[in-house]
Amino acid sequence: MRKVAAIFKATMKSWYRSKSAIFWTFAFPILLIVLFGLIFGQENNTFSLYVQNNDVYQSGENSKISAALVGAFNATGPLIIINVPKDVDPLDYMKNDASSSGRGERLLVIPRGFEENINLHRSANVSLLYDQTQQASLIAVNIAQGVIDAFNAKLTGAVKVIQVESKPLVSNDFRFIDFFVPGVVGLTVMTTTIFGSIERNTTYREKGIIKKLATTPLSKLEWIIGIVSQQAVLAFISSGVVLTAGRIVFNVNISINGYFIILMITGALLFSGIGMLIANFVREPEAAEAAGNAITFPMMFLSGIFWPLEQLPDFLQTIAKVLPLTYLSDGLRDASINSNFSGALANTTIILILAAFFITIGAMVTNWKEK
Amino acid sequence: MGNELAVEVKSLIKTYSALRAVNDISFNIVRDTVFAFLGPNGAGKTTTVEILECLKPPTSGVAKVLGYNVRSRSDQKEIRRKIGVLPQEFNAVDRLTVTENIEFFGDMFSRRLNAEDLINLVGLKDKENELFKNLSGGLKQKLGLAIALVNDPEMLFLDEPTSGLDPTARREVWRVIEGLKKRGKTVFLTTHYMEEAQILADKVGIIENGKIVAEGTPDELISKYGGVKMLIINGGSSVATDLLKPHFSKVQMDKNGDVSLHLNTKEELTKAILLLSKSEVIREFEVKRPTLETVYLKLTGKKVTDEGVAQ
Repeated sequence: MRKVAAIFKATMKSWYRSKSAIFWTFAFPILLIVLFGLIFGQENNTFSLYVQNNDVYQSGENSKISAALVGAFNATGPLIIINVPKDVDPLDYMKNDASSSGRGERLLVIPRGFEENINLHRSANVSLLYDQTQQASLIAVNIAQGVIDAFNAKLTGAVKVIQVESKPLVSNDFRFIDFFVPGVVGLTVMTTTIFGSIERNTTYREKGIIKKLATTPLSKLEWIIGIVSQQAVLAFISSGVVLTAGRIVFNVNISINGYFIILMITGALLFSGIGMLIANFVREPEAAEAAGNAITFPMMFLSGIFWPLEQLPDFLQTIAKVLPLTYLSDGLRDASINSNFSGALANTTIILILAAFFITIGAMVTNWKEK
Repeated sequence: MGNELAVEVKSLIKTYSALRAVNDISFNIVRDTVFAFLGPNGAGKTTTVEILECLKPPTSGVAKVLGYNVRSRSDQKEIRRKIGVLPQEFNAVDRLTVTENIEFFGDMFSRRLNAEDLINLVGLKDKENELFKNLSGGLKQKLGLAIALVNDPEMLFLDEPTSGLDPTARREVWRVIEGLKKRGKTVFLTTHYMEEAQILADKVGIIENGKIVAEGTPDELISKYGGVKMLIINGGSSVATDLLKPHFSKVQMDKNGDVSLHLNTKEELTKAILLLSKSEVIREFEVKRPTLETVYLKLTGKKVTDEGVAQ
């Protein structure tokens, strides 16, 4: 235990005496949360939808059914309806307005004769145009489609009242940014520990410090536990920075409970263990960053940090299920926003098993001695 | 000095694919003595030392340190507990101070010496709070020696301890090693500096291409392979040559005009000085004793540069 404590103490001292290391421990998580928070968190949980209703009576009033459909869109909550005047080109109007207001480009056009067609049991088409390059469009279109389906069901008598059945994914009044922050905590834990472990190992190996340590009674496992525990503390500090920045910049208010803390610690152990294992195959410090990127990048984008896994193609969803970051971000969300403590416990267990596996394998394949 | 062995090496071989880095070598090191492995870079010095430090397994042969077999896992633990190592191109943790580095490496052992005592021993008192990265090469090596001593080892392995140091720093490190010798430590030193081996070692093994080509005390090696003493007449030019040539066969003059004469007996020296005293022009001459450098040159036909390259 004294040897592990000595490694922990020495590496922590080295860390806090390096101004650049301290800067990046704090700056990277802040950059991450602010940048991605601004990118993904701006629209919160509302989506603009431009609507031009051309189905009017001779009196100039909107037809009852078309007005009811627009009312149904309005009633959903997430859809903010922007009415487009009847006498303009709806596409031009939307583009001009969207460019000046920053709203998303999504347009629903209800044609003249819409109510009449329904009354005569003829097909009544509406046009829904959207910018498919905007992620929010997909969500808005899904909601709009749900409203139309419900409306059709009402007209055919299958459902008694017009309603969009919405099942909240998150509890209370959480916004997208609240959903996003636990994922960023997981991401920070992963990047801090994987990069840190690989860098520490390759640098010490190149300087001959590991070889010198190999001539002492220190065991490989003690060395790994020493480094892993130090990286876990750094990950803890970085995660604290993410949560604090989230709170200050975006007023994020998620529940930090015992499960959340335990998941952060076990996640840090797991990714440090992976880093220590990878470090065996990275000989030069110059290659450490490339190796870290090769491991962290796929996990960053395939583990449901930035978008739901359901939006990924099937084969990528299968890959996501074997990526450790998926379990960490799921577990952190279960603990902090979904109030799903059995889910958090299940994810913690999986992470603990993986951490034990990688640390053990890391100790087994670590080779201090040359052949 | 007893004859108890600290290191026993018998028919040791280490191969890397087609290369035989250590080629069937045998030698012993008696406890409380300094043994120097002398040879150029790539001769097999470090490979041999690292086998004895349990860092590399031997391909074949026997290697024992303090009576423990380097091949046995349980013996390796004992060896690591009882040896001190200063590796080649030693580095410690950059952002730890001198004291902190000694304490850090000391914590790897169940028993360790006081850091302050070690700092005083190697003469680093005024640098104890300096970060490792700010130390000069010589001071880094001194710290390396302190760290090698932190577990109060029975045996020390010093791999090229003064390589790359300037002459002043090299002599400072020598003083520390001489101090260890006086304290009765067994030291296995590898070096490519002939002078270092001659000054510090009780016994020298000259290694070339993985083989020990000669072994003995510096005096034994010099008297066996070094040849005779030489009389050098600085600036003697043709005057000295003319005086000596009728009486001696091996008289040579170099391009600087310095004349050298091989001497086999004391009588020859007396005779030469008497002859030279007849000239009023000749004012300066010296008797040069053969060194390990002469021995190495005789045995291998090469000289070793300061960088450790055999030419």
